[in-house]
Parts: sequence; C-alpha cells; structure tokens
Amino acid sequence: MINPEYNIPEDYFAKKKIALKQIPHRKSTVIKMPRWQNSLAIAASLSLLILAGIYYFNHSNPAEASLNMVSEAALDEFINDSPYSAYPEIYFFEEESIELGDLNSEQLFDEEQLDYYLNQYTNEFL
Amino acid sequence: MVEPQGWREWLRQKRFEPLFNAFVDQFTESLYWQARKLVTRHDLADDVLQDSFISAWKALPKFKGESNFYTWLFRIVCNQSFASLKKEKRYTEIEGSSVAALNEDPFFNGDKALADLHKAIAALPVKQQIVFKLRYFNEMPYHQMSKVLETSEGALKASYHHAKEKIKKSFQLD
Repeated sequence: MINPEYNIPEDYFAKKKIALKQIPHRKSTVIKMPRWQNSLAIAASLSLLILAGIYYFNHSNPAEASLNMVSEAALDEFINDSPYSAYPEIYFFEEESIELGDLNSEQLFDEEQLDYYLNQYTNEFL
Repeated sequence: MVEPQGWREWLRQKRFEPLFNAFVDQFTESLYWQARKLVTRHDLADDVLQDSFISAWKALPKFKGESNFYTWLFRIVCNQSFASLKKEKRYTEIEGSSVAALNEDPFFNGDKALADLHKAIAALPVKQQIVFKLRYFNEMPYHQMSKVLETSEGALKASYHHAKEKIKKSFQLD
C-alpha cells in the first residue's frame, strides 16, 4: 500500500528504469574477477618474469661464459697433475714413524721402539 | 511476488544482463516504495534504489538462488536503507536538521502529527527504526522480517516493543 503522504516526481519510474538499465554498461560496475584471482594472476606473472631474468642472467654473463669455455681444459690439466706438485708441503712428512719389521718373524713388533713411540705420542690420544 | 518463468534458467546460463533488466522492469516500483517507507524522504529513497541495484548487479554472479529474487533484492534494499539512515543519523547529530529537511521535502505531504512521528522514529537506534518501520508501515509479519533481517523473531518483537515504548514516551514528553 502506498502511503498518501508520499509523492514522487512526474514520470519518475519510467525515467528511473532507463537509468537503472545503464548500470551494467558503466565502467565502475563492470563485473570483475574476484580480488584473489587478480592477485594470483599478478603473482604468477611476476614469478615468471623473475625466473626468466635469472635464467637470462646465468646464461648470458660474459665472465660466466669465459669460465665455461676454459673449465674443461683447465679441469683436465688439474686432474692429471700430481697432487704433490700442487700442495707439496701437505704430503711431505718429517715426523718419525714406527718402522715395522718383517711381518713373517715371530716377533711382529720391536717392543722397545713401540714403547718409545707410545711414550712420545701418547698425549695425542688423551 | 511471482517470478516469471525462465529467470532461473537465465541465472544458470549466466545471462546476467537480461535477468537484471527483467528485475528493473518488474521490481523498481515495489522496491522504491519499500525504500521510501524506510527512509521517508524521496531523495534518500532514490539514492537507496540506485545503490541497491548497483549492489545487485555486482552480486548477481554470486547469487546461488536459495531465496527468491524479490526477497534477495529486498534484503539489499534493507541493507542500503540501514546504511542511509546511519549516515543521516550522523548528519542529524552534527547538523540537527533531519526533521527540518523532511518538512521542506516537496514530496512529503504529511501533516504535523506524521512529521512528529517521523521525528520520534528518527531518534531511535537505526536498527530499531528499520524494525519499527517494517512492522508499522509495511505491516510485515515477524516470520518474514526474520528472514529478511536474519534476526530471530523474538529479538525482532523485543526490538519493536522497545521502539514503541520510546516513541510513546517522546509524545508524552511533548
């Protein structure tokens, strides 16, 4: 029931319906993707860009490229060299060591030498 | 309100624009008067109607069709009216001119008694205003109001009773 105290402008409803039917065509009322889908699309695009950038950088760096060209030959040379020539001091022992006697003899160890050795180097094992 | 056949099919086929235009043709007048009873002034009702249809257009793709279309639209109108009344109440508290605006409204022909009633209603909390108007002016049954406002019938009855008592008191003080 329409309250008698309420009036409306002339032709209000006819004009209003025309105006309301414009709503779907307005830019601000275009139905958009849900925000979370928008964010997902942006995040995926950024990730791809970053990955592409990393791949490009790794494969186009001049320093990296020159190293890649040299490495095989240099690597072969390094492997074939005796480790003694590279780091001689590590492999050159001057420490005394026990000389083991003939393993076929009844007495396998020279006990006197063994005692001397153990007395000298026992602290290492404490 | 009887829904024309084919609307559910349009919704299922995601044909939103023809469906929306059908809403405009079928429901504009009814929804306007519902809004008008809630917000009283023509300019506010016009804004509520516009905002309600914009909200409906944006929400249409998500509408699952559990209720009928008119109930869904009416709920949107109630929400928009609620927001409009809240804004007006804030304006009234600052400017104190809501009733003066009603008296100057060229589209309001009510007498002094009716204007005084609206003044008393405007002093209520906004939700109570909505409940009182839906019951008093729209004569909406509580079980229907409960579905629209998503509030229990008991709470609505209590709210209406409190609103009535406050309005009576304000008339007695006057």
